[in-house]
Parts: sequence; structure tokens; C-alpha cells
Amino acid sequence: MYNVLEAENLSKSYLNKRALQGANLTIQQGKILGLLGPNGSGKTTFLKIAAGILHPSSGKLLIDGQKPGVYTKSIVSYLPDTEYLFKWMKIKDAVQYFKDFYSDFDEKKSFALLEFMKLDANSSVKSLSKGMKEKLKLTLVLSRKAKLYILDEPLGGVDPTAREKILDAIINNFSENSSMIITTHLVNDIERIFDEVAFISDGEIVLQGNAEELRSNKNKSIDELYREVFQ
Amino acid sequence: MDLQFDDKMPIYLQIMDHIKMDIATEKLKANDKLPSVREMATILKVNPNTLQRAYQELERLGIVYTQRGMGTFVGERKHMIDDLKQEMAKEVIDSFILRMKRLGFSEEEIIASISKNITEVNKHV
Amino acid sequence: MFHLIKYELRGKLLTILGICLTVIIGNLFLMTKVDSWQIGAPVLSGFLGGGALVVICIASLTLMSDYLYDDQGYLLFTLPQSGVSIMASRLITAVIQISIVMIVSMSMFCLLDQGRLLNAILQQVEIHELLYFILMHLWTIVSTLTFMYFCMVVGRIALKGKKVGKVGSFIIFFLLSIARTGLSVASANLFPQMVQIHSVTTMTMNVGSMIFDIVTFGILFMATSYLLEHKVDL
Repeated sequence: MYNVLEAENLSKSYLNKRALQGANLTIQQGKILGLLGPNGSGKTTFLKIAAGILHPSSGKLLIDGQKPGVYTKSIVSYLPDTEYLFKWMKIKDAVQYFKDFYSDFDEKKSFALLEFMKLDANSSVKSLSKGMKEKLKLTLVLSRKAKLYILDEPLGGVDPTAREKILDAIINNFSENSSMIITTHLVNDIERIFDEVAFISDGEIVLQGNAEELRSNKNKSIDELYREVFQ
Repeated sequence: MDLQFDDKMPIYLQIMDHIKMDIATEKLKANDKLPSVREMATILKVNPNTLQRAYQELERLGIVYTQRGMGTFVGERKHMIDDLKQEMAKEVIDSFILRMKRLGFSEEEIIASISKNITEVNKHV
Repeated sequence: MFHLIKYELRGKLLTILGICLTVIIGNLFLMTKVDSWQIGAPVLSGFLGGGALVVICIASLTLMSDYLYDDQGYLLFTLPQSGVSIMASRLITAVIQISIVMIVSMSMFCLLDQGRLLNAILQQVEIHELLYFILMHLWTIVSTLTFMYFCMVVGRIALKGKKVGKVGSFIIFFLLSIARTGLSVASANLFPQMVQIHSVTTMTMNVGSMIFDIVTFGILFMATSYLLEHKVDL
């Protein structure tokens, strides 16, 4: 049971603010961790550093024992909160793109997921609704056999039926060989999926623990705990 | 299994309770195969590790057993059904007695109230 | 790297087609006016070609700018690609795109001109000089773009904000150009040896500045690759 991700004293400062201040976090293999906190707490900053598109001011973050770089990008599958697909692409082009660049991409699985999400491979990315775009992004990200999946607000701005599908896909994707870190506002909908949760506030991890243990120790749901911590 | 979970309590315990209930009411019989961890996790929208823990705890208690590569099955220990029934009944009764006492009822009043209400309940069942 | 080239070409396919079509149609129109406009027609054709070139060069710059400032950067920078791979594929793609536009423009011009200018040139010029010009064409594209990309990347890293970053990049480009010209002249004085390239027009090239240019290019290429891989914050 080794640590897929280890963050120690991670800090990121900008000219006028400190996004992360000495954040400590570990994620074990085979676990799903929920990184919970309000807007501006540093969640996205943390995830971007793990994804390798942001560089820390100090402290360290290791993925599979390596600093973020070309190697970690090949074992990390990142779902950002932005519309990052090329507008000229059709869905099948996006699939081919992932297949070309990632050796761990499972094309069969992507087709199965596309069908599950009711997406047509021939439709263009431009023509998709927000919910469909989210489902497509998730399809691409989950079709890779990555060691670490990083999902930034996978349920954001999406209607309840689409959310169901997304949750199903996430649970089905679970494997003992990989780990996941998921951020969300909608704690209520997704808390049963988390093995561990970590609360982040003002750039620091203020609480990390096993979800079930927290429930039994505090006699509260994770959602209630969240409201309590961030009141 | 159509479960409504209470997120305030550990979920694996609630899953275990439901399986025990199904066994006690003989919905699940000896040597019946339980759904796989993955299947159940998807149906219940719960982390597979949670299911795994529930199954493992049930196995530790001797209620189910696992066969490598085949799955998890309901045990066939003698008197298991009766034991489970007793255990679950005790939980309900103990909690009932505590609550009645908190409301201020004496022991005789508690017993009398059961006889009185049991016919009422029978009408609605 | 080859995949990057493939997708960059596909991404700008419509732009290239649009430019080429404009050049072709423009020239076809001019061909109908050859007799009435005389020298005007080939001159306009030249301008058309020049304009097409400017458009494609700007497109090469905006592509990098999109990577650095827009959401598309998220897709590119999460790929397991080294900075060298990204730079190399960007430059190769730019060379291909610019060359296509140039070939189309020049071909249309020759058609318009009925090959007169081309003949005149071919009579004067030798093979090795032709090769030299082709080489210089490639070299100019690659080294100029590298220099500009370096300024853009530095602007992106050093300055926060889209507009500030772009303006900053331009200022950096301006300042570095001055510095570079100064150093180039200095190195030319250090090594005043010349290499004769062309027999008729006595075009020569200074060895010192040639070495300086190559070295500068190498440094800027590696620096930009390093910065792209390790320092860009999205």
C-alpha cells in the first residue's frame, strides 16, 4: 500500500495572495479522496500543481515518487474545470488525439463509455451542450489506465441525470491499481464514493481522514462536517 | 436492494445490517451468492472499498464466506438465522426500552404498552 | 512529436486553405488584367503574396499565444511531451505552413508573369546559391520564430494577465532585438573574416555573425524549451 501522491509543505504564492500555505496530503494506491473546500481555498491550485501545469513556490509534491514532469503526466489523467478541447474537433477526433498521445488509453473502453453517456462519435465538440461536454471530458479521462485520476469539479454545472451517469462511470472505473482525487462543492451527492476526505481552507489542509471513521466518530455526514468546518 | 442510507453513520455498517436483515427474513438463503463488490457498488452508488469492508466484516463474523474467484456466499452455519434474528431483535428492543424509560415509563407500563399496541400494529400490517 | 505536428497542421488547415485560395483567386483575377494593368499586375501579385505571408506568420504567433493564454493550453501542457518536442514540432509545422503559402504565392506569380522573372533569375543563379537561399529561408523562419517564442514565453511567465503579458512580450522582444543586434555587430568585428557566397552580386556572409546567430538560436531554443516544460504556470 504505497502513496501515489505525497504533498509536503506545499506552498504557492502570487504577487497579491497565497493560494497554498504549507499543504500536506497523501493519497494511497486504490483510494478515492475527496478534496473539499469553498471557492478560493486552494483546491484547483493544488490539483494544477499535481497535473504539472503550475509550479509550486516551495515545498514538494511527488507522484509515484517523482516531481511533476513528463513522466508523471503520462500516469496522471487530469480533468480540468475548463473547456479545453479543440473546437475544430469531432468527438472521434478527440478520442484519436488521446489515443495518439497516451499509451495507456483504452479505445474499446472509450467507445463503451461514449455509448453509456449517449454521445455520438460523429458530433462536433462545438455542438455539444455543457452537460455533454462534461460527459465527453470524463469519458476521455476515464478511458486511460492511469495511476492517478485528478477530477476538478466533475459534477459542476450539470443536471441531475447527467450527474448520475458521471457518478456511475466514476464508480465503475475504480481499480485497486489506481487512485483518484476529486474536488466538488456538491458533497452531498458524492460523499459515499470517498474513501478519504481532506478539507482545505485558505491554502491549508485542516482535516484529513477516512470517511467512514469520521462518520462514526463525529456522528455526522461528511456534508454536515463540511458545513461545520466552513461556517 | 433498495437502500436509503443515513450518511451520519458508517455506510459499511448499514450495508451489513441490510444483508443481515435479508438473511434473517430468509430473502437470502444459505449458499446464495451475494452480488459482486463492483455490482453492488454501482447499484448503491458507493465506493467499492466500502462494500469490500462490509463483506469482510460479515466474513469475520462467520455470516458469509468467500471463494476465490467465485464470489461471496451466504454461510450455512447452524442456527445462523435464529442468531441473527435474536441479535437484531435485541437491538430494536434495547433501543425501545431506553427510549420508553427516557419518556418516564415504568417497567410494568412498558410491558403493558406492548400488549396494548401489538393488536393495533397487527391491524395495519 | 510527429503527433503534435499532425494536430497542429490539422488545426490550422482551414486557415492555410483560405490563404491559398485567396492567393489563387486573386492571381487568377489579376491574370485577366495583365494586358490592361501592365506592370501593375505582377506588382499586385507580389503584394498579395506578401500579404499572405504576413497572415500566416501572424497565425504562427497566435497559435503559441493561444497555448500560453487560452484554455487550449490545458490540453497541450498536460500531454507527456518535453519542451523540446513542443518547440520542435511548432517550428517544423510553421516551416511547413509558411513554405506552402510561399510556394503557392510564387507559383501563381510565375504563372502570371509567364515565367519571365523566374527565367531571368535561373540564368544568373547557380545551384549552390539556390540551395543557400532555400537554407536561408528555412533558417530565417526558424530563428525569428524561436526568438519571438522566447519573448512570448518569458512574457507569460514574468507577467500576470493576458494583455500585460502580451505587451510585455513585445517590449522584451524590442529590447532583446537591440541587444542582439549590438552583440551581432560586436562579434562581426571580432571575426572580420568573410565567406563569399555569390559570384555576381558579391554577397558575402560574415563568419563571426554567422557563428553568433547559430549559437544564439541554440541557446534561445533550449531556453524556451526548458521554460515551456518547467516554468509555465497556467
